[in-house]
Amino acid sequence: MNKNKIKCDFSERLLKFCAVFFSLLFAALMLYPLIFAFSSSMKDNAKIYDIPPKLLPDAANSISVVLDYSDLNFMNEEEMKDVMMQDNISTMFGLNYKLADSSIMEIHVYGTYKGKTVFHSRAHQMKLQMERDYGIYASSAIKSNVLLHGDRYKRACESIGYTFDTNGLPLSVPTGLENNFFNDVSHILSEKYPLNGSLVSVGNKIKNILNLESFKYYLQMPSYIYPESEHIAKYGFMTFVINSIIVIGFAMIAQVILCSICAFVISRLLSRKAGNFVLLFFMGAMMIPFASIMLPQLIMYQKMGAYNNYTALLLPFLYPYGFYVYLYKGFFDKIPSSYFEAASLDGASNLYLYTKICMPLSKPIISLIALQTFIGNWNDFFWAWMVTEDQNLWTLNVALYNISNNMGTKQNALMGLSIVTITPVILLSILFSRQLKQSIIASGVKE
Amino acid sequence: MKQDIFKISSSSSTLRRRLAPWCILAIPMACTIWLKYYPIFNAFYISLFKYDPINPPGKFVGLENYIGMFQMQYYWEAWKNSFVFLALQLSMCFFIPLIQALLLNELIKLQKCLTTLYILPALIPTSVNIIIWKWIWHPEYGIANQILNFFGCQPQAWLSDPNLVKFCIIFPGVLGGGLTVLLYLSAIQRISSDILESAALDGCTGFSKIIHIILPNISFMISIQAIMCVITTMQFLDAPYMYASGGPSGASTTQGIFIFNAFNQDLNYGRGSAASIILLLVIGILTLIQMHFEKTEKE
Repeated sequence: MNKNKIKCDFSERLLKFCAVFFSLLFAALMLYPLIFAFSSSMKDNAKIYDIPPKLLPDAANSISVVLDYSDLNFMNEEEMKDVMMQDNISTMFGLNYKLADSSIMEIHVYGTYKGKTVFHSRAHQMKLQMERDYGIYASSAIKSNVLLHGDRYKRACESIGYTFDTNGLPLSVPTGLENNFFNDVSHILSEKYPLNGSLVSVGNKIKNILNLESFKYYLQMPSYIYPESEHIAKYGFMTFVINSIIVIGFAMIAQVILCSICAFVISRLLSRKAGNFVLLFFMGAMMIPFASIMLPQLIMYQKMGAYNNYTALLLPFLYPYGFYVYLYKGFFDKIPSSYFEAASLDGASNLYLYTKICMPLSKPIISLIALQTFIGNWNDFFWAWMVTEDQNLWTLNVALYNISNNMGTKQNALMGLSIVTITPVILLSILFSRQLKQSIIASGVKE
Repeated sequence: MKQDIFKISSSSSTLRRRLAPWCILAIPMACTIWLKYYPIFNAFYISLFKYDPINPPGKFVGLENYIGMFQMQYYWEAWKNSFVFLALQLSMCFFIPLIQALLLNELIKLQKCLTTLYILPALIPTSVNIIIWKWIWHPEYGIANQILNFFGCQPQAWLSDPNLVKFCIIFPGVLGGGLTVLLYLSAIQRISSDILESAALDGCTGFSKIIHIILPNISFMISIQAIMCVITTMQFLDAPYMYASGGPSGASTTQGIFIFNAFNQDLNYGRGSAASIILLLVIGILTLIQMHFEKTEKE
C-alpha cells in the first residue's frame, strides 16, 4: 500500500513537472515570433539583413554634424539659406547611404555663421529612407549632383523640416559628445559629397528611444507608397485601421441586432416546431463554405454595383448568423416566462417585450455575440481583397498583404506595421480575457 | 405556458398573433435567401452554361463544364493538394492543442495567464502571421536556414520549393494555441470530479490518469474537432494564397484557389461555378457526418 502511494506520488509529480516545463516551452515558442517581429521592427534597414539574425536591436546612434560658414561671403539671406540647404541634404543622404551599417538613427545638422547658430535640421533615419525609397529621391542614385539637381534639395528640406534665422537660433551646438565618427564623416564628405561650409565637429551619442521613433514613420509609410489616394496621403496607415473598425463595427452591431430579433421571435412567438425550422434555415445558410460561394456572390454583387465600395464590404454581414441566433435563443429560453406573461396580461406589445424585457436582461449575451463576431470576422481577408481595387477601402488584412507584396517595402517596416496592428488586439484581449474565454467556451458547448 | 396567453386573447386577434412573428422574420429570412441561398442556386445555374459575362448567361452546355473539369489534371491536383494539406494538418498540428490543454489542466497558478496567451494566435490576423513566417522561411536571411546551417544541413528554398511549400504553410500551426485549446480545456474541466477522485483512490494518477480517464471522457470533443479540422482544411484559401498564391507550379493550389483562378485567370465562370458546387457537396456531406456525431453524443 505504502509503496503504491510513493509510486503514485512520483507519477503525479512527474506529470506536474512535465506540464510546467512543456507549457512554458510552448509559451516561449509561441511568443518567439512576436518578440522577433518586435525586435525586427526596431532594427534599421541594414541590420535586418544580419546573419545570423540577432534578437536585440543595436544601440541607436544620434550624430550631430556642425558646419561653419564664417569664411564665406553671402550676397543676401536667400543665398545663405540655399547653400546651407544644399549642404544639409548632401550631409544627411550621403551619411545615411555611406554609413548604413553604423546604426545612425538620427542626424542633426547645425550651420554656424560668425559664432551664431543660424541653421538647424534634424532627420530620423526612416524619414531619409522613405524619401530614398518612395519620395523625392525614389529610384535615383545617391550622388552629389543627383541630390542637388534642380529644386529637389529644397523639396527634400521642406519635407524633412529645418529652421533658419540669420539673427541666430535659440539653440546652441551640442557639446560634450563622443567623437567616434569624425574621421569617417570627414572622409566621406570630402571625397563624395563636397560641401560649401567647413566641417567643424561630428558628435555622437547613444539614444535608444530613436528605435521606437521608427514607428512614427512606419505609420506614414503608406502615404508615400500610395500618394495618389487622398485618404491614405492624409491619414497614412490609420486609413486601414479606420476601415477595419468600420467593417468589424458594422458586423458586430448588425449581428447583435439581427440575431437578437430573430432569436426573440423563435424563442417567444413561434411554436417549437416552427422555431426549429427557422433555426435550421439560418444555420444552413451559415454552413455554406465561403470558398464555394465567393464566385457567385461576386457576380451577384458586381451586378448590383456593390463592387469597390463600402457596400461590398458591409453587405455580407447583413443576414443573421445561424449560430449566434442559436446562442441567443438558448439565452432567451432561460428567461422566466412569468416576466412575459405578466407584461402580456397588461397588454404589452411584442416590441415592448423585446426592448424592455429581453434586451436589458441580455447584456452578457450581447457582449458574447459581439466578441464572437469580432473573433470570427476580423481576420477576413479574401472577400475584402476581391472586392476592393481602391486603396482607400483596404482593411488592415488586405493592406498588410498588399504592402508586403510591394517589393520595395523593407522588412522592418512590415514588422512594424504588423506590431501596430496586433498590439491593440493583444492588449484588449488581455484586458477582456475573462469575457473572451467565456465566449469561446460558450461557442464550443452545444448542450 | 405560451398556449395560455393565446387562449386569453380574442379569436380575431389570433390570426394577427400567428402572423406577427412571420412578418418580423420576413426581412432577415429574405436577406438570408438573397445573400446566401440564391448565390448557390445561381452557381448551379451558371455551371450549366458556357457563361458569358457581357450578355449572360451565354450558351447552354449542360454538364459539359463538369465533364471538362473532371478531365483536367489541374483540378485533381488541387484535390490532391487539399488532401496532403489535410494529412499534414492532422499529423503535425491536430494534436498539439489537445496536448497543450491536457498540460494546462495540470497547472494551477499559471493556468489563467497561459490560457490568455494561447488565445492570442487566434486573434493575430493571417497577414501578420504571413509577414513574420515569410521572413522566417526566407532562403537567405531567414532563421529556418540558419538552423539548418547550424546542424550542417543544406539550405532549402522553402516557400519556393514545390515539395516543401505545403509543409511551410502548415508548420506555423505546430506552435499550437488558438481557440481549440480552450474548448478542450473546458471539456476536461467538465469531467465530473467523482470519476477523477475514485480513479485517484484506485491509484490511477499522473499519466495513466490522462490516458485512462481524461482522454476517453473527451473523445467526443476530439472527434468533433477532427471533423472541424477536415472541414476547415478542405476550405483552405487565405493562407496558401497569401503565402505562395497557389504556387510554385500549382503545388499549393487548393479548391478555393482553383475556383478563384478559374474565374480570375481563365475567366471561365462556368468551370469555377462547377467546382464551387462540387466543393459545396463535399463539405455538405462532411457537415452531415459532423451533425450525426453530435446527435449520437446527445443521446
